[in-house]
Amino acid sequence: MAVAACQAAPEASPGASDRGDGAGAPFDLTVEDIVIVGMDNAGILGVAGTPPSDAAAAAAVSAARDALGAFLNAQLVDEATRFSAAPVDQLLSARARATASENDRAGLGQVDLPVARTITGPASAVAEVLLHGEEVHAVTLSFNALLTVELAGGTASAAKQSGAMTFLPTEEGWRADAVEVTIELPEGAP
Amino acid sequence: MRRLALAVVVAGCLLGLAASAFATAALRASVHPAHAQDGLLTILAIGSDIGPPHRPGDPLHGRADGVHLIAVDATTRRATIVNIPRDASVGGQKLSDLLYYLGPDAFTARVAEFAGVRIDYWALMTFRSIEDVVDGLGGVDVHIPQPMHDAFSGSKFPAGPQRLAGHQALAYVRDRKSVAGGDFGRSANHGNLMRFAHAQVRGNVTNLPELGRMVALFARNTVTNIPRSELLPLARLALMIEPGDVRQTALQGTFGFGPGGASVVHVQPGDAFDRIRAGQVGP
Repeated sequence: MAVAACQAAPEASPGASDRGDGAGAPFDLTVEDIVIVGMDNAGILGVAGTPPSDAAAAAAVSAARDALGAFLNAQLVDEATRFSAAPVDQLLSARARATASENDRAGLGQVDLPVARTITGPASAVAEVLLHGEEVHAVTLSFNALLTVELAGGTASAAKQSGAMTFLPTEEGWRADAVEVTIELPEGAP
Repeated sequence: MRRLALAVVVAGCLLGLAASAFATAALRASVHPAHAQDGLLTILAIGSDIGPPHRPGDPLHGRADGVHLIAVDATTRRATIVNIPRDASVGGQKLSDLLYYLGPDAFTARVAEFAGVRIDYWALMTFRSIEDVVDGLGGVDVHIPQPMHDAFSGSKFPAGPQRLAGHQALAYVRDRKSVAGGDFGRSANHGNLMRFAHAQVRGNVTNLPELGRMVALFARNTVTNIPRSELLPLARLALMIEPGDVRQTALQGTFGFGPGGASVVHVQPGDAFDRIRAGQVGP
């Protein structure tokens, strides 16, 4: 079941600079499609099922999209936090944080890279929501976020963060509990 | 204008050279938290003979046609399936009847007491569950050692490898008349189908969206006390287990009669439960 696509309102990234050339501008993460995957087991119980709530799905996708958008902007754009550990810690659930290796953190953009500035490009996602009535179990976002990274020295290179993350509602808010992503960065990253 | 155009082309080429001279490196992240519990995890798989549309009624209080203790070592990623005969005599009663009287919580507690093994969770399926899960997987590849032909269950399979659709898989696990060992053979085929389906899932799931869809398929077709928050980590754990690291063992026993005159199996568990208690899981 598909629900209308939604678009994140780009939020000002604290500490981001605006040089008038796109540098420092936040990603405008667009969710192009929402697929609802039902989890209701009423069929085997022979009782009336609970229809999936489009509103609950849309709200959950919005929350997950906000979490992913905040991560992408903090990790790749915001001068104060980009390529550091803090955005990864903010993104992951407690148990995912405990599981993530140094290589995983590097794949999420926690790298030592002499970045002069980044320029955001298109960012889009497709969402799959695991849902039982109004109870949302998980939202998986498959996404692409394109950008240009300019290293100290002035050479610019295309970069990309892409893959999938599964977000769960946790006590800390919507957090990524499973991650399969790749980041393509200028060579020179560890 | 022509000079400007030329300048743009040259500038573009230089930019292109600069970019191509500056190669990119791809770094991967694959974060999948393990199930919260270290070490041994135990789940009782229960097949109820009640449930729509085949047999309308409450599957939680049907008779347990299939009872299997699944033990997983989350650390070594090995597993054991113990097939428990449905006619096993437990406290003087036939095991399959206990589900009808007790429901799945107390039923599981009774099996745990019988086996002397802590059981963390139970998961109950119906005839329809088997059909829907197998069809949802696109069929399951099985190997059938001897021909099966049974009008009651609907089994009609030549020997050899074949892919079963949902209704065929149901016939495969219900047939006890044309399999060696009768009810013991049928119970073994329940475990076989679980192992074949596990292998099929491993082949089908290659990314997070597919993992989510697989979890939803099982959630739609199972009644369980496994917390929703544990379903994805448990599914991921299951995918990490190699099919060759799953041991299947069947409890043996002798036929006899219970207090009410009903035929029962007096189980001789051998070391099946001892091994699990000792944390010896897998081949």
